[in-house]
Amino acid sequence: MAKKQQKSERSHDVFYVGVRDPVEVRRSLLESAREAIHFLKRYEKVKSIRAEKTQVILKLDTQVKDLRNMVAKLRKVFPATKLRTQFPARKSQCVVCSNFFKNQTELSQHMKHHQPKKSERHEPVRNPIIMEKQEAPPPKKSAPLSDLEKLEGELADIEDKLDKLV
Amino acid sequence: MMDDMPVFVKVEDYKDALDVMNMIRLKIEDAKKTLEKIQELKSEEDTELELWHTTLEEVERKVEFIDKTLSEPGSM
Repeated sequence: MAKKQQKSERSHDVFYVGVRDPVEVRRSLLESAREAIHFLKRYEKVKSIRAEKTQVILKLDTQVKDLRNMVAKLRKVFPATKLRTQFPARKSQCVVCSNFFKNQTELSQHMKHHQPKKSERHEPVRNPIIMEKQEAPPPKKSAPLSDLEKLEGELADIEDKLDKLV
Repeated sequence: MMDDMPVFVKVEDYKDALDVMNMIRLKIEDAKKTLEKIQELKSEEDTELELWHTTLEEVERKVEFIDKTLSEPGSM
């Protein structure tokens, strides 16, 4: 009996702080969680792109090594003479405005004018979520999908909660 | 003097040289394709990073709203 009385007294001591726009706050929280999951999904994608890029770079490395070997082979086929052919000097030309330059240094200096300025920023995507939904093909079933599947599940949960809010 | 001297290559060697030249040409084409693929992947990665940036800004905006709302409690 005494315990019950103590409990009810304690419950009277508890204070609460009201939250303005609770629905909006909850919506923002859920949307933030959703964005975080999109973020993680993108991370997985970038990881796979980087892995693929590494593989392709290794392939290019092998191809360049093969090329070097072939050129060495070609040199062996030809007789060893001291004859040298003078190739016509290749002028450095700008691929953008087709202007000629005396040397590569001048061309690289000139090319800096064509580079986009760093201060120029792309228009921010107003609704990245919609863009995400437009991704056409569903991901292929492969090993790293388990992480993605978990994220998809969490995303579905959040979407569900958001739908209930409306 | 040397420049005027004709150079002769054995027929067999000449054939080998042509074969090797052909192989080199093919290999250069392959290397060009690989480089294109690398550029493609790089731009794909850049696009993803740009999207990360946008998403992060969006989340920041939402968290700021939540923070602002919580720091101004509602009255009865």
